[in-house]
Amino acid sequence: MNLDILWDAADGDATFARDLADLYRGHITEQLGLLHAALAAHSASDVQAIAHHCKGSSHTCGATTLASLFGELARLGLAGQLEQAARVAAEAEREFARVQVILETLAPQPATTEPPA
Amino acid sequence: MKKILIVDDDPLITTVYAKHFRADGFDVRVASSGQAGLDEVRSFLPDAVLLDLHMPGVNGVQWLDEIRKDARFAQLPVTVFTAGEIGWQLWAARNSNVNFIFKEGAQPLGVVRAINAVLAMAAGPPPAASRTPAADAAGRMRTP
Repeated sequence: MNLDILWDAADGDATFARDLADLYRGHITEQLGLLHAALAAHSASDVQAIAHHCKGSSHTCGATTLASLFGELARLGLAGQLEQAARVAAEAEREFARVQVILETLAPQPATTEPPA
Repeated sequence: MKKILIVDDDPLITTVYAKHFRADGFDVRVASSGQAGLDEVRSFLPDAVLLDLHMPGVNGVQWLDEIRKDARFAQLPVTVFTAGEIGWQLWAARNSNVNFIFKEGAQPLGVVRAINAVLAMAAGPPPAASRTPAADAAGRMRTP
């Protein structure tokens, strides 16, 4: 995860970076659901299209490892190699879980208050 | 005010680019599909378009083919995104008079600068004293 890329995408705006992180998490969660359905339906073209879509979003948010995994998934979808695609999809899900933990750190921290003297 | 139309089915990418172009003083419209983009380009009449090549339905290459048939958009500056592995689409886009081709993951600020340079070039050569290194560099990146 390269947070510098996310920071650039947000133009240095911390609130916007958090909004983007939320948008990304929601979007990829939804797309992973669709990816599961496409794999279950043995639809290689859907696997390719969904993975390609996720690759672009992941690049934009700085999730570079995940972007590479989605790129590999898109390639496997295009080649119709769905067994291998299912393995890479599982790896992508594990990586997404790691990315989510990192993105959580962007969440606003509760304000600390100094105890009265 | 400069007007830009962003045609991309990825909400994350459109959100990022809309913010950057608005911050640079653009009037921004977003179309989340190729078909919506075709409708929008005819009503919004943008000065430039940022286009994703890989979209379901009307894809970027079909989109370019369609607008280039209309004399109003024959010279409309279009910058495209590509994920890189779709060679035939890239080839077709190059043959549709696109100004720049960016790989997905490009820095948004660089894309904004490039499109500004295209618009500046379309407006005619500026006085020599006001030329910027950024515009010159962007000009060198121009695709055939």
